[in-house]
Amino acid sequence: MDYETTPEGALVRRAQSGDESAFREIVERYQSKVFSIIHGIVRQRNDVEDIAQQVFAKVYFSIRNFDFRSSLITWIYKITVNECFDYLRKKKVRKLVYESDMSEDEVRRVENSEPLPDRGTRADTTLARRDYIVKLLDRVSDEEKNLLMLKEVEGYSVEELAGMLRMNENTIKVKLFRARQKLVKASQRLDKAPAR
Amino acid sequence: MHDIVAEQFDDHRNGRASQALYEHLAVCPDCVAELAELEQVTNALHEFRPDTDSIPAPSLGFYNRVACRIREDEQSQSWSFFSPGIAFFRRVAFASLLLLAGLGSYLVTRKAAEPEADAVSIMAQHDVLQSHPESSDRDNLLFALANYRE
Ligand SMILES: [Zn+2]
Repeated sequence: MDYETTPEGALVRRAQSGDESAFREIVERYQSKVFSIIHGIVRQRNDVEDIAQQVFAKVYFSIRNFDFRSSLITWIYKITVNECFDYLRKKKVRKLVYESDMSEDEVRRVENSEPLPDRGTRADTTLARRDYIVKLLDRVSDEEKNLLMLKEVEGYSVEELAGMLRMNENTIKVKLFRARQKLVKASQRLDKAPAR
Repeated sequence: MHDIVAEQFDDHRNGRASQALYEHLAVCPDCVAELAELEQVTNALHEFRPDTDSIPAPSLGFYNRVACRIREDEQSQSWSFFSPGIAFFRRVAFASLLLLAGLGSYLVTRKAAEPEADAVSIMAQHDVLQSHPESSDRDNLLFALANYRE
């Protein structure tokens, strides 16, 4: 069935024509999902609601550009991931580091994305790993990033992705594989980056 | 890297790869090394998987806070020179009306003035009109402008 003719497609059409109650329904339908995605990526409880507000404001301002080529949640997912990555980039490693009380040497290492030696403080290494993954994913296109996240974080199968994104399974496999190869290259480059 | 690894990487991850893949890996150390790297970056992404035990739930009034944020964003955008929204155009239309009204009241008072009066005396007379009862319409307009909200 064509997504545009589903009940959700009709809901989006109403939101696109400026019906506020339709927009409200979209927010209420997906707010828990968006909170869960954000928390998974940023792991800063206090900032989850703020990022979620920003996500839905973006949804509101760009809903007219939604073209029904994917499902609404796939589109919201992409907006959410981009907001989270912007947040992680803006927050900057240095600020995170000050909050987590690292040594100058460790700060330098995190900034150069070297893996940290185990020093028993889980929060620090979690932050460092998160920053490292954002740096890796910065090296692939938005489409590749979205595919990788849907597959590896949300756990969709290749078959499900093919249905959600209206592509054949082989295309999805090829795109995923190329994206993974880019990640490998990016990780090799980051591992080689000399400490400043 | 040989094609068989590219073709079956996801199947391998699901435990559904063919025997041929493992026969190939048994004789191709290059593919074994590359497969290990692919798995490593793929596993790194699992860091972002939601931790189902500690996901914060949206609190009461979340939608209202989103709506407030949208209104704030709309206001800040409509003041921006480069992205005039609908509110911007409404404000321009309102300002034009004010200008017309102001000009109209000026012309009426000017007609009442001496026909041969020079610019200075017209302006002086115009100043006097500030306290004239006829100027109350203008005052109302100024009041409306001061209190104008879109
Ligand atoms: Zn091989």
